Amino acid sequence: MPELPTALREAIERGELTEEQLRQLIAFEAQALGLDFNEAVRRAKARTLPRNYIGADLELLVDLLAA
Amino acid sequence: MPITAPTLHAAAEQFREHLNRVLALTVTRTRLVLIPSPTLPRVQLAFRQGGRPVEAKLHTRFGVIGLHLAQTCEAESVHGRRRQQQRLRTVAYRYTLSPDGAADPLLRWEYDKQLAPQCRHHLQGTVELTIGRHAVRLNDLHLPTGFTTIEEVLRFCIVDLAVAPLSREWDEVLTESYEKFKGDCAPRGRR
Repeated sequence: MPELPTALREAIERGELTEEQLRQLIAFEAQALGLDFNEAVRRAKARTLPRNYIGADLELLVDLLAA
Repeated sequence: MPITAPTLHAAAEQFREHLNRVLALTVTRTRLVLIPSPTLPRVQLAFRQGGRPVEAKLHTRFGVIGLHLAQTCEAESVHGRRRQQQRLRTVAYRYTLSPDGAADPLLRWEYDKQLAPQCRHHLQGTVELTIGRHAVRLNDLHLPTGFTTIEEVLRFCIVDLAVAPLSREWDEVLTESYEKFKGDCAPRGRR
């Protein structure tokens, strides 16, 4: 998984993410699984993401998005 | 003692600090990091470094095994002595144990409050089973478990996988934390 941009990393460390930053984080984790944002969200909701720890983490991150 | 605070974020921060202390005294110094939802009353706790999800690498009697922990928590309003408080509740968890180099976790403990019709608390994994004349994998089933706490997974790592504990007090630390929080985050009979 690539390094996250500094602003996103700092927002995570502070525990204060904007909706845009949450989407950016989801997109980074999706990329690590070879998926784009929309596909990752669709598969997270269908519980069909890869079963590894990144997929597990991503599934719970998608639950943080506004419905 | 319930995990309550004036805000969800403050309650989750208490929980995170407590769990990180438990982890550091038992199996790993890898830390849980809090990600709050920008719009929903919900937070995620997971092992992260540099913002990215990571596994804690544990040296077990079967070689190196990666442990990943993640939980989603919400809050319910309760009346405090002086004002409204937020009580933390776990609504989802994912705990995985993956031998080094394995594509899929050997064991996955999962819970989803909304999951249906499968067992909401279940265990899956790449373990092969024989049922009659049929060969199946645990990944094909949702083996019921009841609420699995992080403390129980850490205990499994030390007792069954022979991970060297990081302190002499590991047993007391896990017992005390289990007793303190199990009833608060997942009271029996509550959905």
